[in-house]
Amino acid sequence: MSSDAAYQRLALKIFVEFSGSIAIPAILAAVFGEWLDMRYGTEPWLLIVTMVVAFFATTVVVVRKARFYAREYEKLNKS
Amino acid sequence: MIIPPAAAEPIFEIGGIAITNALVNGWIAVAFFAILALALGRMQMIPRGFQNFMEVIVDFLLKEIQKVTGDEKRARAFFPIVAGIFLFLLFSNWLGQLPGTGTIGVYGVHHGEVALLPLLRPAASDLNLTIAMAAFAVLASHLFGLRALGFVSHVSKFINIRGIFQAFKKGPIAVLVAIVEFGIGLIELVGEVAKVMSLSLRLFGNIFAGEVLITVMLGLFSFIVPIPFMLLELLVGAVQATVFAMLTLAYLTVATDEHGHEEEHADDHASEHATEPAH
Repeated sequence: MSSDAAYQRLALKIFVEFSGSIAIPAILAAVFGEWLDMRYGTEPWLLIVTMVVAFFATTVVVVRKARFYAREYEKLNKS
Repeated sequence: MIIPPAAAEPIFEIGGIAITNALVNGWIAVAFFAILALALGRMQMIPRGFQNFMEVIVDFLLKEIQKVTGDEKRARAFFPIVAGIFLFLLFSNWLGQLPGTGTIGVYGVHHGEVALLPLLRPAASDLNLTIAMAAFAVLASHLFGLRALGFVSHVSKFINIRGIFQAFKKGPIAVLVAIVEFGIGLIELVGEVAKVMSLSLRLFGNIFAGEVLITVMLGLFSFIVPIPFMLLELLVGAVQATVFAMLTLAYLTVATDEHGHEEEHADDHASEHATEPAH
Protein backbone atom coordinates (compact mmCIF):
# COMPACT_ATOMS: atom_id res chain seq x y z
CA MET A 1 0.00 0.00 0.00
CA SER A 2 1.38 3.38 -0.90
CA SER A 3 0.94 6.45 1.23
CA ASP A 4 -0.78 9.70 0.38
CA ALA A 5 2.63 11.37 0.18
CA ALA A 6 3.53 9.37 -2.94
CA TYR A 7 0.35 10.50 -4.68
CA GLN A 8 0.93 14.10 -3.63
CA ARG A 9 4.45 14.01 -5.02
CA LEU A 10 3.19 12.63 -8.32
CA ALA A 11 0.55 15.37 -8.45
CA LEU A 12 3.16 18.05 -7.78
CA LYS A 13 5.40 16.65 -10.52
CA ILE A 14 2.47 16.76 -12.95
CA PHE A 15 1.71 20.37 -11.96
CA VAL A 16 5.34 21.35 -12.47
CA GLU A 17 5.79 19.63 -15.83
CA PHE A 18 2.43 20.50 -17.39
CA SER A 19 2.30 24.14 -16.37
CA GLY A 20 5.92 24.47 -17.47
CA SER A 21 5.48 22.83 -20.85
CA ILE A 22 2.47 25.01 -21.62
CA ALA A 23 3.86 28.36 -20.46
CA ILE A 24 7.56 28.19 -21.32
CA PRO A 25 7.42 27.41 -25.09
CA ALA A 26 4.66 29.99 -25.58
CA ILE A 27 6.65 32.78 -23.92
CA LEU A 28 9.89 31.89 -25.67
CA ALA A 29 8.08 31.73 -29.02
CA ALA A 30 6.46 35.11 -28.39
CA VAL A 31 9.77 36.76 -27.52
CA PHE A 32 11.66 35.06 -30.36
CA GLY A 33 8.92 35.70 -32.90
CA GLU A 34 8.68 39.40 -32.05
CA TRP A 35 12.44 39.70 -32.32
CA LEU A 36 12.48 37.97 -35.73
CA ASP A 37 9.64 40.19 -36.95
CA MET A 38 11.48 43.30 -35.83
CA ARG A 39 14.64 42.14 -37.52
CA TYR A 40 13.12 41.24 -40.88
CA GLY A 41 10.16 43.64 -40.83
CA THR A 42 7.64 40.88 -41.50
CA GLU A 43 5.19 41.75 -38.74
CA PRO A 44 3.24 39.68 -37.71
CA TRP A 45 4.00 36.59 -39.81
CA LEU A 46 7.10 35.18 -38.14
CA LEU A 47 5.45 35.63 -34.74
CA ILE A 48 2.50 33.56 -35.96
CA VAL A 49 4.87 30.88 -37.30
CA THR A 50 6.83 30.60 -34.04
CA MET A 51 3.62 30.52 -31.99
CA VAL A 52 2.18 27.72 -34.15
CA VAL A 53 5.41 25.77 -33.76
CA ALA A 54 5.31 26.34 -29.98
CA PHE A 55 1.68 25.23 -29.67
CA PHE A 56 2.37 22.16 -31.75
CA ALA A 57 5.43 21.27 -29.66
CA THR A 58 3.42 21.81 -26.46
CA THR A 59 0.65 19.52 -27.70
CA VAL A 60 3.10 16.74 -28.53
CA VAL A 61 4.93 17.10 -25.21
CA VAL A 62 1.74 17.27 -23.12
CA VAL A 63 0.23 14.19 -24.77
CA ARG A 64 3.43 12.21 -24.25
CA LYS A 65 3.70 13.33 -20.64
CA ALA A 66 0.04 12.55 -19.99
CA ARG A 67 0.60 8.98 -21.23
CA PHE A 68 3.75 8.70 -19.11
CA TYR A 69 2.06 9.95 -15.94
CA ALA A 70 -0.98 7.75 -16.53
CA ARG A 71 1.40 4.77 -16.40
CA GLU A 72 3.10 6.17 -13.29
CA TYR A 73 -0.29 6.53 -11.62
CA GLU A 74 -1.19 2.94 -12.45
CA LYS A 75 2.15 1.81 -11.01
CA LEU A 76 1.40 3.68 -7.78
CA ASN A 77 -2.02 2.07 -7.55
CA LYS A 78 -0.52 -1.40 -7.88
CA SER A 79 2.35 -0.94 -5.44
CA MET B 1 -10.36 47.89 -21.85
CA ILE B 2 -7.06 46.76 -23.34
CA ILE B 3 -5.58 43.30 -23.21
CA PRO B 4 -2.74 43.51 -20.70
CA PRO B 5 0.64 43.85 -22.46
CA ALA B 6 3.45 41.50 -21.42
CA ALA B 7 5.34 44.29 -19.66
CA ALA B 8 3.81 45.93 -16.62
CA GLU B 9 2.69 49.52 -17.31
CA PRO B 10 4.30 52.36 -15.38
CA ILE B 11 1.55 54.45 -13.78
CA PHE B 12 3.60 57.17 -12.10
CA GLU B 13 7.15 58.08 -11.19
CA ILE B 14 8.86 58.68 -7.88
CA GLY B 15 12.22 60.41 -8.21
CA GLY B 16 12.76 59.13 -11.75
CA ILE B 17 11.92 55.53 -10.87
CA ALA B 18 8.87 54.27 -12.75
CA ILE B 19 6.32 52.66 -10.47
CA THR B 20 4.46 49.93 -12.37
CA ASN B 21 1.04 48.57 -11.51
CA ALA B 22 2.54 45.14 -10.76
CA LEU B 23 4.93 46.78 -8.30
CA VAL B 24 1.96 48.36 -6.49
CA ASN B 25 0.40 44.93 -6.04
CA GLY B 26 3.68 43.49 -4.80
CA TRP B 27 3.97 46.19 -2.16
CA ILE B 28 0.35 45.66 -1.11
CA ALA B 29 1.27 42.03 -0.40
CA VAL B 30 4.38 43.11 1.51
CA ALA B 31 2.35 45.63 3.52
CA PHE B 32 -0.27 42.98 4.26
CA PHE B 33 2.30 40.65 5.82
CA ALA B 34 3.99 43.50 7.69
CA ILE B 35 0.66 44.53 9.20
CA LEU B 36 -0.09 40.89 10.01
CA ALA B 37 3.20 40.62 11.88
CA LEU B 38 2.52 43.84 13.79
CA ALA B 39 -1.05 42.75 14.58
CA LEU B 40 0.29 39.58 16.16
CA GLY B 41 2.10 41.76 18.66
CA ARG B 42 3.95 40.06 21.45
CA MET B 43 3.87 36.30 21.34
CA GLN B 44 2.21 34.55 24.24
CA MET B 45 3.55 31.26 25.58
CA ILE B 46 0.02 29.86 25.51
CA PRO B 47 -1.39 30.90 22.12
CA ARG B 48 -4.99 32.07 21.89
CA GLY B 49 -7.25 33.26 19.12
CA PHE B 50 -5.41 34.95 16.25
CA GLN B 51 -1.95 33.79 17.32
CA ASN B 52 -3.23 30.26 17.61
CA PHE B 53 -4.56 30.39 14.04
CA MET B 54 -1.22 31.69 12.74
CA GLU B 55 0.66 29.01 14.62
CA VAL B 56 -1.49 26.34 12.97
CA ILE B 57 -0.46 27.68 9.54
CA VAL B 58 3.23 27.93 10.46
CA ASP B 59 3.20 24.48 12.02
CA PHE B 60 1.56 22.94 8.95
CA LEU B 61 4.09 24.56 6.58
CA LEU B 62 7.02 23.50 8.76
CA LYS B 63 5.80 19.89 8.80
CA GLU B 64 5.37 19.87 5.01
CA ILE B 65 8.90 21.26 4.55
CA GLN B 66 10.30 18.69 6.94
CA LYS B 67 8.76 15.91 4.84
CA VAL B 68 11.04 16.98 1.96
CA THR B 69 14.22 17.88 3.84
CA GLY B 70 13.97 14.87 6.14
CA ASP B 71 15.52 16.56 9.14
CA GLU B 72 14.31 19.30 11.41
CA LYS B 73 17.51 21.35 11.32
CA ARG B 74 17.34 21.98 7.58
CA ALA B 75 13.57 22.37 7.70
CA ARG B 76 13.95 25.22 10.18
CA ALA B 77 16.78 26.78 8.16
CA PHE B 78 14.77 26.72 4.91
CA PHE B 79 11.44 27.61 6.47
CA PRO B 80 11.72 31.42 6.24
CA ILE B 81 12.66 31.30 2.55
CA VAL B 82 10.22 28.65 1.38
CA ALA B 83 7.23 29.68 3.50
CA GLY B 84 7.90 33.33 2.71
CA ILE B 85 7.89 32.65 -1.04
CA PHE B 86 4.77 30.49 -0.75
CA LEU B 87 2.71 32.92 1.31
CA PHE B 88 3.80 35.95 -0.71
CA LEU B 89 2.98 34.30 -4.03
CA LEU B 90 -0.29 32.85 -2.79
CA PHE B 91 -1.46 36.21 -1.49
CA SER B 92 -0.29 38.23 -4.50
CA ASN B 93 -1.74 35.69 -6.96
CA TRP B 94 -5.10 35.75 -5.24
CA LEU B 95 -4.93 39.53 -5.01
CA GLY B 96 -5.23 39.47 -8.79
CA GLN B 97 -8.82 38.26 -8.39
CA LEU B 98 -9.77 41.26 -6.27
CA PRO B 99 -12.51 43.27 -7.99
CA GLY B 100 -10.86 46.30 -9.54
CA THR B 101 -7.63 44.60 -10.50
CA GLY B 102 -7.23 45.28 -14.20
CA THR B 103 -10.39 47.41 -14.38
CA ILE B 104 -9.82 50.46 -12.16
CA GLY B 105 -7.09 52.62 -13.58
CA VAL B 106 -5.77 55.91 -14.81
CA TYR B 107 -5.75 57.16 -18.38
CA GLY B 108 -2.30 57.13 -19.88
CA VAL B 109 -0.44 56.69 -23.14
CA HIS B 110 -0.19 53.10 -24.32
CA HIS B 111 1.49 52.39 -27.69
CA GLY B 112 0.91 56.00 -28.67
CA GLU B 113 -2.80 55.88 -27.84
CA VAL B 114 -4.63 57.00 -24.74
CA ALA B 115 -5.91 53.95 -22.89
CA LEU B 116 -6.99 52.88 -19.43
CA LEU B 117 -3.92 51.69 -17.54
CA PRO B 118 -5.01 49.47 -14.65
CA LEU B 119 -3.84 50.56 -11.21
CA LEU B 120 -3.48 47.00 -10.00
CA ARG B 121 -2.00 44.01 -11.79
CA PRO B 122 -0.98 40.67 -10.25
CA ALA B 123 2.60 41.00 -9.04
CA ALA B 124 3.70 37.71 -10.63
CA SER B 125 2.45 38.84 -14.06
CA ASP B 126 5.60 40.96 -14.28
CA LEU B 127 8.59 38.96 -15.51
CA ASN B 128 10.94 41.21 -13.51
CA LEU B 129 9.51 39.95 -10.23
CA THR B 130 9.52 36.27 -11.18
CA ILE B 131 13.08 36.36 -12.53
CA ALA B 132 14.26 38.13 -9.38
CA MET B 133 12.56 35.55 -7.18
CA ALA B 134 13.88 32.61 -9.21
CA ALA B 135 17.42 34.03 -9.21
CA PHE B 136 17.18 34.52 -5.47
CA ALA B 137 15.93 30.95 -4.95
CA VAL B 138 18.75 29.39 -6.99
CA LEU B 139 21.38 31.70 -5.45
CA ALA B 140 20.12 30.83 -1.97
CA SER B 141 20.46 27.13 -2.76
CA HIS B 142 24.12 27.73 -3.69
CA LEU B 143 24.83 29.75 -0.56
CA PHE B 144 23.27 27.05 1.62
CA GLY B 145 25.22 24.44 -0.36
CA LEU B 146 28.49 26.30 0.19
CA ARG B 147 27.77 26.56 3.91
CA ALA B 148 26.70 22.94 4.32
CA LEU B 149 29.33 21.18 2.19
CA GLY B 150 32.21 23.63 2.14
CA PHE B 151 33.69 25.42 -0.87
CA VAL B 152 35.53 22.51 -2.50
CA SER B 153 32.71 19.96 -2.23
CA HIS B 154 30.07 22.34 -3.49
CA VAL B 155 32.08 23.68 -6.44
CA SER B 156 33.13 20.12 -7.33
CA LYS B 157 29.49 19.36 -8.15
CA PHE B 158 29.88 21.60 -11.18
CA ILE B 159 33.60 21.92 -11.95
CA ASN B 160 34.86 18.56 -10.84
CA ILE B 161 38.65 19.02 -10.91
CA ARG B 162 38.94 17.23 -7.58
CA GLY B 163 37.39 14.12 -9.13
CA ILE B 164 40.03 14.02 -11.87
CA PHE B 165 42.87 14.32 -9.35
CA GLN B 166 41.37 11.57 -7.19
CA ALA B 167 40.95 9.33 -10.25
CA PHE B 168 44.70 9.40 -10.98
CA LYS B 169 45.25 7.18 -7.95
CA LYS B 170 42.80 4.58 -9.27
CA GLY B 171 44.07 4.01 -12.81
CA PRO B 172 43.44 5.02 -16.44
CA ILE B 173 39.78 3.89 -16.69
CA ALA B 174 38.88 5.93 -13.63
CA VAL B 175 40.52 8.99 -15.22
CA LEU B 176 38.39 8.54 -18.32
CA VAL B 177 35.25 8.28 -16.19
CA ALA B 178 36.30 11.37 -14.24
CA ILE B 179 36.72 13.37 -17.45
CA VAL B 180 33.21 12.37 -18.55
CA GLU B 181 31.92 13.36 -15.11
CA PHE B 182 33.69 16.69 -15.50
CA GLY B 183 31.71 17.28 -18.69
CA ILE B 184 28.46 16.33 -16.94
CA GLY B 185 29.31 18.81 -14.21
CA LEU B 186 29.63 21.56 -16.81
CA ILE B 187 26.23 20.63 -18.23
CA GLU B 188 24.80 20.97 -14.73
CA LEU B 189 26.22 24.47 -14.63
CA VAL B 190 24.02 25.27 -17.64
CA GLY B 191 21.21 23.53 -15.78
CA GLU B 192 21.45 26.12 -13.03
CA VAL B 193 20.64 28.86 -15.53
CA ALA B 194 17.82 26.71 -16.90
CA LYS B 195 16.43 26.42 -13.37
CA VAL B 196 16.09 30.20 -13.12
CA MET B 197 14.54 30.36 -16.60
CA SER B 198 11.99 27.60 -16.07
CA LEU B 199 11.00 28.76 -12.56
CA SER B 200 10.45 32.35 -13.62
CA LEU B 201 8.81 31.68 -16.99
CA ARG B 202 6.43 29.10 -15.56
CA LEU B 203 5.12 31.42 -12.87
CA PHE B 204 4.96 34.45 -15.15
CA GLY B 205 3.31 32.50 -17.97
CA ASN B 206 0.58 31.04 -15.82
CA ILE B 207 -0.34 34.20 -13.93
CA PHE B 208 -0.07 36.48 -16.97
CA ALA B 209 -2.11 34.08 -19.13
CA GLY B 210 -4.75 34.01 -16.40
CA GLU B 211 -4.93 37.79 -16.34
CA VAL B 212 -5.33 37.94 -20.14
CA LEU B 213 -7.94 35.18 -20.06
CA ILE B 214 -10.02 36.97 -17.43
CA THR B 215 -9.77 40.25 -19.38
CA VAL B 216 -10.94 38.58 -22.58
CA MET B 217 -13.78 36.76 -20.80
CA LEU B 218 -14.93 39.97 -19.12
CA GLY B 219 -14.81 41.66 -22.52
CA LEU B 220 -17.02 38.98 -24.06
CA PHE B 221 -19.52 38.46 -21.24
CA SER B 222 -20.16 40.64 -18.22
CA PHE B 223 -21.94 38.14 -16.02
CA ILE B 224 -21.79 34.47 -14.99
CA VAL B 225 -19.50 33.22 -17.79
CA PRO B 226 -16.25 34.64 -16.30
CA ILE B 227 -16.95 33.03 -12.90
CA PRO B 228 -15.63 29.52 -13.69
CA PHE B 229 -12.48 31.10 -15.13
CA MET B 230 -12.04 33.12 -11.95
CA LEU B 231 -12.36 29.96 -9.87
CA LEU B 232 -9.79 28.37 -12.17
CA GLU B 233 -7.49 31.33 -11.50
CA LEU B 234 -7.82 30.77 -7.74
CA LEU B 235 -6.68 27.19 -8.31
CA VAL B 236 -3.83 28.22 -10.63
CA GLY B 237 -2.67 30.84 -8.11
CA ALA B 238 -2.50 28.28 -5.32
CA VAL B 239 -0.89 25.61 -7.50
CA GLN B 240 1.77 27.93 -8.91
CA ALA B 241 2.63 29.26 -5.46
CA THR B 242 3.00 25.66 -4.24
CA VAL B 243 5.07 24.67 -7.27
CA PHE B 244 7.46 27.62 -6.94
CA ALA B 245 7.92 27.07 -3.21
CA MET B 246 8.34 23.28 -3.50
CA LEU B 247 10.88 23.57 -6.32
CA THR B 248 12.83 26.12 -4.29
CA LEU B 249 12.73 23.70 -1.39
CA ALA B 250 13.88 20.84 -3.64
CA TYR B 251 16.82 22.93 -4.93
CA LEU B 252 17.78 23.88 -1.38
CA THR B 253 17.56 20.28 -0.20
CA VAL B 254 19.57 18.89 -3.12
CA ALA B 255 22.25 21.58 -2.75
CA THR B 256 22.78 20.71 0.90
CA ASP B 257 22.72 16.92 0.38
CA GLU B 258 26.06 15.19 0.76
CA HIS B 259 25.60 13.10 -2.39
CA GLY B 260 23.24 12.81 -5.33
CA HIS B 261 23.12 16.00 -7.31
CA GLU B 262 20.29 15.06 -9.61
CA GLU B 263 16.68 15.92 -9.14
CA GLU B 264 15.62 12.29 -9.31
CA HIS B 265 17.86 11.49 -6.36
CA ALA B 266 16.25 14.24 -4.36
CA ASP B 267 12.86 12.80 -5.13
CA ASP B 268 13.98 9.39 -3.95
CA HIS B 269 15.24 10.92 -0.73
CA ALA B 270 12.05 12.84 -0.31
CA SER B 271 9.94 9.72 -0.78
CA GLU B 272 12.03 7.79 1.72
CA HIS B 273 11.64 10.53 4.26
CA ALA B 274 8.00 11.09 3.43
CA THR B 275 7.11 7.51 4.21
CA GLU B 276 8.87 7.64 7.57
CA PRO B 277 6.56 8.25 10.50
CA ALA B 278 6.62 11.82 11.79
CA HIS B 279 8.74 12.29 14.86
